[in-house]
Amino acid sequence: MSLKKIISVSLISYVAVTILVVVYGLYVAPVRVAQTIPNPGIQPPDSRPASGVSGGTSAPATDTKDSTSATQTTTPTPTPTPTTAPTTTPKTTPTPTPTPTPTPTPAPTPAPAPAPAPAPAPAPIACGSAGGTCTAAQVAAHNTKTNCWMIYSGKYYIVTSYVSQHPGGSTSFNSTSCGHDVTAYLKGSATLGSQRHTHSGSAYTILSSYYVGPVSG
Amino acid sequence: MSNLRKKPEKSRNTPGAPWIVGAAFLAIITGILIVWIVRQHAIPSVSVVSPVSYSNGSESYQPGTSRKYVIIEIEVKNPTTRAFNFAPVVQTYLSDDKGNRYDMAPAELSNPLAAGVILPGETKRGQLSYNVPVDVTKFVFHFVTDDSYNISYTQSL
Repeated sequence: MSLKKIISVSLISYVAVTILVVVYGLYVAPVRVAQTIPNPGIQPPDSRPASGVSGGTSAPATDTKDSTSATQTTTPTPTPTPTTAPTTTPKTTPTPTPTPTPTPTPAPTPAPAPAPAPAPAPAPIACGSAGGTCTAAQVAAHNTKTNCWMIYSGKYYIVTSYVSQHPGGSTSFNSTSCGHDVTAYLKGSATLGSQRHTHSGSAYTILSSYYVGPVSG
Repeated sequence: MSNLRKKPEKSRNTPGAPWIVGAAFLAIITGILIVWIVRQHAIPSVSVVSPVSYSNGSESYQPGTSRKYVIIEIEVKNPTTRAFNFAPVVQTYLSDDKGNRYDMAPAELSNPLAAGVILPGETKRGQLSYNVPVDVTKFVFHFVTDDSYNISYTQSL
């Protein structure tokens, strides 16, 4: 095999294998990963099958807001043991003068160990942004028809653009529902004003489109 | 008989083999590096994947007088190495050539796209709906994130 042939075959195999690895890494492997990870969705409060609710296109049951709830772990550093003070040897003099008592020098204070630098935490996502965590108080500030946020099952939803489209009318969206936790009301276990009704499965499907983030506290 | 006792012939000397094996090994390393670099710099993408359709509403959802629903099917891809939070109600809207903005509105959809976390490598596809005036036919789809991804994407419909 001539040198020219060796080089050309090597080059071809180099390019071919590189392409194979890149295609596998960028297209084949990610798809396999996505297929193996389940993503359970929002379910109506009762156990009846909800029409139109598909598991693949639904809000997450578990909110992976790792960026906001990341805990920093610090590795404990060993405390340096203080070194013993050096002892001074007494001077011996030919005269019988009393020998001076050696005064022990104070032990050097160990320098405080530098604190380990904490790992940089990911920037938290702001309340109101996709995936951003809000407190109940922050949600409560949005309590009008034109600025209506709601809490359902520990998650908040921005439903302002939904208010005028609500099949039951917009009267149920007021200062007692907007900005509040409406879980009990949507589950039919509580009344909102004088109203008590349950929602269809498709209502929860639509609600899942309005999900923004989790509620803390 | 003498043929049977004959030792098998030594394989032909291939001086190029180490070169080819070396090149293949180097290629694997290069490929892994390329994949790593590409995935580090990748960003989630959202695109409208089917022609726009219109709806005059259903029994439950009515767009209102002189209004209609624009229904688009979008695909959200997350080729990155970290989870992506997708919330169409705050990240998507339509605009027309006069600069009017139309936010997401509920409609009966055959394949609604829910909000939620798009895992690394995951792709989701589904429909979103917007309430618009009947006389407007040209729209621009906007996808804007204000989190750490800071994506701003538009597509004419």
